Amino acid sequence: MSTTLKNIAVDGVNDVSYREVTQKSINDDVMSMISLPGKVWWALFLFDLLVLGCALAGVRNLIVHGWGVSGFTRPVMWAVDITNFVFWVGIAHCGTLVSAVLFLFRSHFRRAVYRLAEAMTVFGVLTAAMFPAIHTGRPWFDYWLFPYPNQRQLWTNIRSPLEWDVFAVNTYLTVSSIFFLVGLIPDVAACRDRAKHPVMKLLYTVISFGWTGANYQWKHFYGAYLFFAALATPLVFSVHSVVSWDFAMAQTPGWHSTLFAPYFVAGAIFSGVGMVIFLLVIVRKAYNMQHIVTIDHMEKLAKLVMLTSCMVGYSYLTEFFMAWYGPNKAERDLFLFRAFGHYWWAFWIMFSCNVIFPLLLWIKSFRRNMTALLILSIFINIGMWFERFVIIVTSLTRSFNPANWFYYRISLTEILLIVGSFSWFFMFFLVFLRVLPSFSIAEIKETLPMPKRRHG
Amino acid sequence: MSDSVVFSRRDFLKLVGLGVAGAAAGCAKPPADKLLPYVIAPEDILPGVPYMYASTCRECPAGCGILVKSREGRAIKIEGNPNQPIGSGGLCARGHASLQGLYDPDRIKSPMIKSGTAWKAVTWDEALATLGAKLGAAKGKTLLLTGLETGAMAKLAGEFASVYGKHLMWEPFGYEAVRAANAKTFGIGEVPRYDIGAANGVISFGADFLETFGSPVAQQRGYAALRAKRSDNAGWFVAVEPRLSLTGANADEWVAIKPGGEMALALGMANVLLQANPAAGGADRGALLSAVAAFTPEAVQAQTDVKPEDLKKLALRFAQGPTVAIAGGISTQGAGATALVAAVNLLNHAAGNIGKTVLFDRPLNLDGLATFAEFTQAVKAMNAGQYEVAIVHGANPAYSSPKWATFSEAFAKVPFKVSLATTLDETAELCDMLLPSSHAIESFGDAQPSRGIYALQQPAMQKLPMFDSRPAGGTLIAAAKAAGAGAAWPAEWYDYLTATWAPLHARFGNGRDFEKFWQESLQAGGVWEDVASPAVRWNGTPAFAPLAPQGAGEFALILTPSHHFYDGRGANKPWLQEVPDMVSKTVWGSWAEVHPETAAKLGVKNGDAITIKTDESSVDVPVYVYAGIRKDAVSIALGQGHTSYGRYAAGRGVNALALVPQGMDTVAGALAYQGNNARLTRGSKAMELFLQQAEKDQHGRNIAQVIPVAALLAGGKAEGEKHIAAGKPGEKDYPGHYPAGDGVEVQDPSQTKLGKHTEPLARPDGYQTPAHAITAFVPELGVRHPKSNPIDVGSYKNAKHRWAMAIDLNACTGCAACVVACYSENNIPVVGPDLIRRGREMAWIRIDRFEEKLGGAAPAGLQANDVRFVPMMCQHCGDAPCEMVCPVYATYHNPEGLNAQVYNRCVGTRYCSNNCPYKVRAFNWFDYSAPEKTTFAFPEPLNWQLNPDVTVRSKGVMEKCTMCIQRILEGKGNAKDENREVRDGEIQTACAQSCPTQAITFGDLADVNSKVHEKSFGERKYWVLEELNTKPGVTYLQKIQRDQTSEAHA
Repeated sequence: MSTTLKNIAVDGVNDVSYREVTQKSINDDVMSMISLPGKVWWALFLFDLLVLGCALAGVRNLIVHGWGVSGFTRPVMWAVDITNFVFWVGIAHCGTLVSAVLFLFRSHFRRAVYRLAEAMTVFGVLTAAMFPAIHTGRPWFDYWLFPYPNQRQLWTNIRSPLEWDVFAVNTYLTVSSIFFLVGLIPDVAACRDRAKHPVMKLLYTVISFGWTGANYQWKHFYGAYLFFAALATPLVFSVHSVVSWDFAMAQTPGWHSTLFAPYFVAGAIFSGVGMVIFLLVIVRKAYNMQHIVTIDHMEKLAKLVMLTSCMVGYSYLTEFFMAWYGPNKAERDLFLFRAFGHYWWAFWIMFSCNVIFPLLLWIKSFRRNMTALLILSIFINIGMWFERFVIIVTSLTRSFNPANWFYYRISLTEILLIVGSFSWFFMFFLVFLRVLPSFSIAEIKETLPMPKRRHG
Repeated sequence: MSDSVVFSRRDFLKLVGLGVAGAAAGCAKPPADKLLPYVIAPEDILPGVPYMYASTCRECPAGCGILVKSREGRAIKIEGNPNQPIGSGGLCARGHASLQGLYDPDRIKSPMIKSGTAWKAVTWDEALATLGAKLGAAKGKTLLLTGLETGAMAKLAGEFASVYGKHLMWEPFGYEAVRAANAKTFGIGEVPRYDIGAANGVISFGADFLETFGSPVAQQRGYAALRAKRSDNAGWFVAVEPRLSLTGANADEWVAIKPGGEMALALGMANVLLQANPAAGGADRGALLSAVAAFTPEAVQAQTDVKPEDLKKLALRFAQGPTVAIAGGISTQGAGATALVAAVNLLNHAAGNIGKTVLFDRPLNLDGLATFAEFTQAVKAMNAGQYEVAIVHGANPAYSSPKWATFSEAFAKVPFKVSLATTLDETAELCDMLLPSSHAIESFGDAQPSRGIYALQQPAMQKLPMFDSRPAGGTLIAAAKAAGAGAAWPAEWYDYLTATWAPLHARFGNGRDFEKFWQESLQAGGVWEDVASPAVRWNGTPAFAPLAPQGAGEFALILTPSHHFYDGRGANKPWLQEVPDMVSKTVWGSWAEVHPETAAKLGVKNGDAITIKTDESSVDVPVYVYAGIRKDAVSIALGQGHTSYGRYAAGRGVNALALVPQGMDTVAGALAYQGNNARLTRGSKAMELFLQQAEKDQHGRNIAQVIPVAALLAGGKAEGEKHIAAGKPGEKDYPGHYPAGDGVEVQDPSQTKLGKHTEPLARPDGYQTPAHAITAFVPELGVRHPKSNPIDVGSYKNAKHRWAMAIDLNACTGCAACVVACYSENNIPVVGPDLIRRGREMAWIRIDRFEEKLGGAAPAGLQANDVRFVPMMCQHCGDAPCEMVCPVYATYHNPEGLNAQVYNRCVGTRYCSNNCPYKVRAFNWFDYSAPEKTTFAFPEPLNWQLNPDVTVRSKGVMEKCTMCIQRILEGKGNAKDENREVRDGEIQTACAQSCPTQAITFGDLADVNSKVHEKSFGERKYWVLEELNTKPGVTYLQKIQRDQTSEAHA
């Protein structure tokens, strides 16, 4: 008996590579991805480690010689470090949005994509967390940012947005990891049942928590899942709001704005969905999974990008409007500088990648063209990286006292940090592809009709 | 010696804690850090207590009195000696930096003899024997070439020369023209004292009297008195110069005169003045009138580019004496230098200023100083082979005389040349023997910088052990004795010195025995007496003829004396290299100033190379586009471009002296630095301009504020500027930022109320922490433990002081003495040009230069060519943006109002700097304090200068101004020891102490009688970026703007 995936492919199916999905085929398909790595994977993985090694050499420089090896100048005390941090925290937003928020809203198209998005979230936070850690002048004292009892009664300054960050990011990492791992349980159990390698078997046994698929387990599973979804949903908004307050709480022109929290959350979802599209287009093609993640799914993600792009664009314009409308001359000067000053190119990269190019998504055929989506998703991520760069660097370059205006120039070490962050992320991601089921078998099966009981 | 197995309890515990002794054994041993106590404690040294040794600064002829601060036997800082009449407690940047001459890592380590091209170290005995033999054979054929020497050293040199040959005392900046002109017009060939403070107004004809000319520190003090005058018609200052110098930048008005036209302008003014006032000139009126008859305002316009009506206004203003016109600086020293000074003398005389503001009671003591012409005579004699031996001390003519004077070639012809330098400078390199002299701070000496002032110089510490040096006087004596002469002299320089003081003992002894007199004189820094001014009368009126500039080219070349390096002698001091030039704000190199229009024509922008070519030579320098220079001029500073002279000086910039074509002011025998034309072409070399401040426009941020004198006198507030006490925020013309609070009258400096914003909540008497609130972190009373301190003990509630500062922008001249003093006091690392260009300067106080309408038309009601200097340091905000964002409380508000920075708590997130609107925090990008790193900033023995009271910061931490908290603690400790309150003025920050114009006042705002309280609540007060509601502890006082007589001339 074969069944089509009617529930998933809501708008009908016209994918050329569409295949049937059955209770068995879904297990086979997804688990076929978990196999001994091939040459391509190894080549990618080794290349990734090589890049990561170079980046670690850069980090070593930072720690041994000091942050002087970066291009930072006095007014610009943050640049690539915090840009990367915010960028990766932003990337990390999509996973929770797709899995938790859309789960609560019963948006079923999430079922095909959420696993990958969640993995991306966890790895994104892991990448992001690197940057506050290494960006300090004395990273070996980073633990001072945690409030721990000590005999000198030294405490952290809870008024500092950086301190809020410490809690926000750690909370987010914890909750998104738990959410990810909980969602994995039924699938990992299936992997466990098929695993041949003793090490893999052990791993799956441990993280499947003794899953047998019993009725009461399903009951508790869905209870827990709903609970975590409810817990994670506010985090989608809080984490990036807190990150934005790193800037908004300072009185530096260009930072000091009440707009920042929603603006950053929209931007984060925008970049996160962009990254999900980028990963999905590649993964579904590489593993021939077009029947599981259909073009309809991709189009829905593309619509999410459309929405958030508009929100981000609106925020950009609002910032300029407020600068013009408000009484603050420093702010007005700054926004003119942002668009037309020394870093005009960064601003226009940001603006075109995040606002202008995504306008193409209003064309349906564009939304359904995988190559187009892939290219656009790359532009979105470039644009969103530059958004943070523009916010951080241009604002700091032109603050209140003109006597201290210096231009920042990127250094080799910082370029290594950027590529290093990608290699760090993809290191996790490549391992994930080979070790854990990249699509949720259990949830996709929910959409299939129940197999008929055989009667004698 | 079996210390290999000994380790301390602490180390033992560490190892136990680790539990991996094996791993530890494999690690490299840490370097042995030992604290060596005195084996035999010196009786008069208390560890931790500084000693101040009175001495005399020898960095320029002015001879200011200094106090050298010494800790545990090391000189660590220099301050002005408030009791000595010259300087009166102020000290310039060069004076502060003389410490780095003492601790220069490139000082000559021992006597050396040149063998081939290499130097070979020899002992003093060997060296002196060699020199003695040479000297003995060269009786009468020895040239002793020194810089300006006065007192015992001059006497010794004279006596030495009387036996062995000639003593030539030569200074590149020798004031030949001033001396010659004064000899001619007044019959007194000296550099007068200008009593600027007594004048109603000052006109400087290119004399940089706030920088190098005359006695700059004393003149700065006079300038402050001048500018403090609250009157419509007094306190004005007009600068007449083609290029706006640092001195000129302080003026109310810039007359951008045609280069070389200064004399004509002075005479034109004298003409108007004499015509207008039938009494002017007195008995000499006829002579004066006939001398200036040809110089009518209309006639001089062509030479000066000054409109006749402007000239008339200026002259009539000048007539309302007493006023003073000053001329004779290096930047006007051309072939007509003497005529210019004579013309200005005439102007002063016509205005009746002689004897009122131009005084000959305490002239600069330049007795016996050779002119440049005499110097060239000596060079000729050397060329002719008249000298067998040359001994050089305190002069570097191979660098500071132009090439065409052929000093180096002639000097090479002298068979045996000895240098008594401290550092291997260009002249020492040409010598055959080096006999290193001790630095002024480590040796005895004296100086008579001015009439009636007998200043002493005493060692503030033992001679540095790594440099085997001797005082130059002692070397001369020993050399003479080795040559078999000088039997009359005592063997030691010290004895010679005291012997020369015998006559002074007779005069000033007052019955004390010599030893007591000597000790007391040493303690005071010397002896001085009041002297009467000799009678000054008009001696004769020279004939004046204007001179045309020489050479091919369409640009007038203006060579300026360097404020930091003087004639170049300061270039080996990293502080002076690091502290930006206050005109261009460049560091560590040369630059050429050209007008923006000229730059556009040449197609160059800041940092591009241009070639300046005169008939003599050409140099390539980076361009600095400067609106404060005429379109037909190019300016370059002297003092850089050393080929040797140590690691900090060699190979930086160009020596602009190379451009000077052959030429002299024949009347005075002065080198004609000016009056030459140059051609400019775009250079091809890649060059770098190291700018410490690129943006000099305020962009309407109201950081440097002014108040027109009329508004001040009317009791009103600054026009277009906001004022703390009154004036509603957000008024017209104030397009700035958000007001401090909605509907709230902006407060007065709030800090007088102790702990207003920082005090913990007051708890009622008998308050007990409720049981539910007691955690491990709530202090419990009654236990002897840090936790047991109740929250209000030792905290904000009991604070007695609110430390604060008031900075009077009206007095600040931008001289940067405070910056160098701060480097010296607070162990601030010097980071070099590349890092400065990237904004990584470590200075805790910097001077922001803002140019308003420079070279343009004046906005209505405001001055044209208005340059404002703002000393900018941590503002110690009452509501500090940096404190709020530090995640670990590394920066916090201390009970006494200081914004404290705890280095060892700092993690280095740099957020505090990002949130600091003043951007006064400096981050340790590299490890400047680790000797093993290439970024080490204090190579031996520069590290000897480090102040033991101040931490040397390590990599990755933020630092900033502490308001010299170590001095505050010292002052509080002293007061406590004496069981009294801290007196106002007792505690001075390094910057406030050194300021020659006393623009900076430090004190306790909680003391309502303090000076800082008075200033902080005065009428001109404002806070920088006050609308951000940071409530700074540093209050600025608006600069007073005075009326200008004319429109901008540029």
